[in-house]
Amino acid sequence: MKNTLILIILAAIFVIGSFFVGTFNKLQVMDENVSANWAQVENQLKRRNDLIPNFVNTVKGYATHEKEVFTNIADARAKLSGSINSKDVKAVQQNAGELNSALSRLLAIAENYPQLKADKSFIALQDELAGTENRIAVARRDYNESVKSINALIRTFPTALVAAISGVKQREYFEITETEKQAPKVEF
Amino acid sequence: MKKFLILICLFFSIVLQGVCLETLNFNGFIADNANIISSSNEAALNQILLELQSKTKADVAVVTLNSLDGRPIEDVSLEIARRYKLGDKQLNNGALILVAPYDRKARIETGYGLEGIMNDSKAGRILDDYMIPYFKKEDYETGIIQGTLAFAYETAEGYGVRLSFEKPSAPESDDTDILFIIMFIIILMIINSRGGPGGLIFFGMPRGFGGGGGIKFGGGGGFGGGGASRGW
Repeated sequence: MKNTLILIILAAIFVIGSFFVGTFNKLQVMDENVSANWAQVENQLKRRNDLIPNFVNTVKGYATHEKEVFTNIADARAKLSGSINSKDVKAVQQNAGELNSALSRLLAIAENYPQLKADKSFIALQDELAGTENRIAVARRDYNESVKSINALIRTFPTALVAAISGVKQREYFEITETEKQAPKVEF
Repeated sequence: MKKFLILICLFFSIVLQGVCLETLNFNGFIADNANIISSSNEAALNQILLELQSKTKADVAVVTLNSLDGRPIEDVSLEIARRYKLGDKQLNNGALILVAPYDRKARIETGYGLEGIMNDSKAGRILDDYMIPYFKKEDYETGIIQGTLAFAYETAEGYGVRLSFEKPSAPESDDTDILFIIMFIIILMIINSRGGPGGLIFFGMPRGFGGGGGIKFGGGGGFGGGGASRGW
């Protein structure tokens, strides 16, 4: 009788232990996945930041009087670079939104210059910019998906216990701001 | 019953985007849902894309759709490219040429591994130079053939290999259309006479190539939204 009890207790410890280890590992993998996806978001935002000077210079060649727009873009771009380096999701979100609206104003201006729109290098840069915008959107969606799955898991019992013990925390979504939802996209 | 199914489908397509994407039946590298490409040209394109795949491991899929169901073409093409895992598993060098003639939208989607060779502006230029001029005239077949050939040629060039056809010339006047098609036929005859893996493609289906049998995508699917889109 005593032996059976010990066996049952051992079995219970084994089951709970293997559940703990399994969940712990799963959470670690998912957490790493979120970080990797975030790195991809940052990469693409940086990629766009690198494209912007060329793009602005091409527009400058045709639209010389739009100084204000050019300075706005330069400022927003510098702020975004700063926040990417600080790894702060909220700040990146905020500054990326500002840069987006500054860029969409530039694109709206470009519409007024037919010669600019026909410029081969402008078309090429516009393609690169549109492609990067799309990459940002994809990276953001992938990131949010991974955040969603880890957050859902952490919220539910009994994973919540394992997460609390192992220190895996819920992650922040990268949301789009209201102005961005209305901002015109790079289109042809 | 059917109405009920459509309703359910509609419901889910709103809740979970992409559930109701048209079913794609790939014949080799091509899923021609909008029924644009003739079977002989389809076989010919498959032949060229197979040559590209065997030399570079790059998968280039060509898909035409009847409808995008109101979704952005970027979403649809990414979904297809990821679902069918285009490109080599390690290299992720897949690409998708997607044309939705009734929505008047086309897109070239490039996988991570092809982004260096085929950057977005190059993809945009292929659309502008080889495809859109024909699409504007509703000659979708020529546009797709031209664009696919140009894409395959430039990809091979990026890998430093040669394919057994010459680079198509961008259309300038109407004469080039006919000239191009004649060139295309001659090139195909040359390929045929060499007796490549497919054998004769114009005159009856070759062995082992009938329904695009034996062609498989590489299992990559690493796509991050690179490429270019156009409307016309």
